[in-house]
Amino acid sequence: MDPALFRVNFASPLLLVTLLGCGESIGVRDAWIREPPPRSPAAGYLIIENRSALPVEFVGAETAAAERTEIHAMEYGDGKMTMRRADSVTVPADGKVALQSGGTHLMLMKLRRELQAGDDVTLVLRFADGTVKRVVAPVRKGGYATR
Amino acid sequence: MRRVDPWLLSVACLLVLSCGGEPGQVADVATPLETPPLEDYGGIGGDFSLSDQRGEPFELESLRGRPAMLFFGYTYCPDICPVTLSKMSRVFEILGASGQDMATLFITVDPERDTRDKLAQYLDYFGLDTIGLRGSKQETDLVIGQYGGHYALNKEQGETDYFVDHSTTTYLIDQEGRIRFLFGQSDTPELMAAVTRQLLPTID
Repeated sequence: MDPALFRVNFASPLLLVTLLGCGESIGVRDAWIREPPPRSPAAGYLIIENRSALPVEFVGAETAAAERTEIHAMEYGDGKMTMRRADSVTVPADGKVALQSGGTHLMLMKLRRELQAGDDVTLVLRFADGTVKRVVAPVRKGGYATR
Repeated sequence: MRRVDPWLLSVACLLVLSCGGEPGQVADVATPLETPPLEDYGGIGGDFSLSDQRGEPFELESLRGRPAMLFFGYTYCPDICPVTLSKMSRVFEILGASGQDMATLFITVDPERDTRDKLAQYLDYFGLDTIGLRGSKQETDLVIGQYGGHYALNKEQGETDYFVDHSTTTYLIDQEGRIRFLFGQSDTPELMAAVTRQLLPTID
């Protein structure tokens, strides 16, 4: 191994901490947007994985495709659906959270352009620890399957 | 720690089991072995009058002789209402020719924002020939009460940008206008089709 590289790796604990801290400890995958009916907001789904020993708070998302992106928490009880805006979602330590149809999900409000199956939407996800994740979410016809 | 609703969890498990693939993919599940029998719900349901998405008056009575699926929703609901409508498409697919007479009725619980045009555009998108129904707040309250459902405008966070909490039951209505089954959000299209088939003529 190149001694210089060796030195860099071990002489820069700060770099290491930085990489571990806001680099890859949070992963986002399987993002997609349900193609919205005309003039409706669009629902977004994804999975957030937390590979660190501490819980992380997902605090919000943005996209150029919509004026506002909100976290919507949905609950069922007694045959009734209630929905409310949520400020954040906790991703447990060494765990994951699925933002999915029928549960907590993202809602792209006041779309700036029409979204159709085949489009890609870039979502910027923010976490309380300062981590910012960018993810490309394809727009798909949703169907009834949820995941 | 987030509270996990066991009911929701079971729904999730069911969905994972029944549709492991891509969203929209046809679930690979056979008709349930035991189809629940049709029931009678004497206390709820019955005829009502509202207007359809063309502005024409609509009476449930006019459907006599045809079975129907009825549910309440609103067009600003982009998660679960599309799921319900997509599920209906799948039910029709499974039923094939025997389901051709069945009507689908979507009653908006948000007539204020769901104008006739909005309703028409929304339902056209799903291509189901759904009859979209709306009425005044008073009329809507009457019908949903009659069907044992409920809804509430959740305007805490804005007068124009609100949610509507509502019943998610899908009602199976027979040719005489009586409710014969209540489907929940977790029921698969396969189960819904199997239950519905009991009302339909057998077509070979």
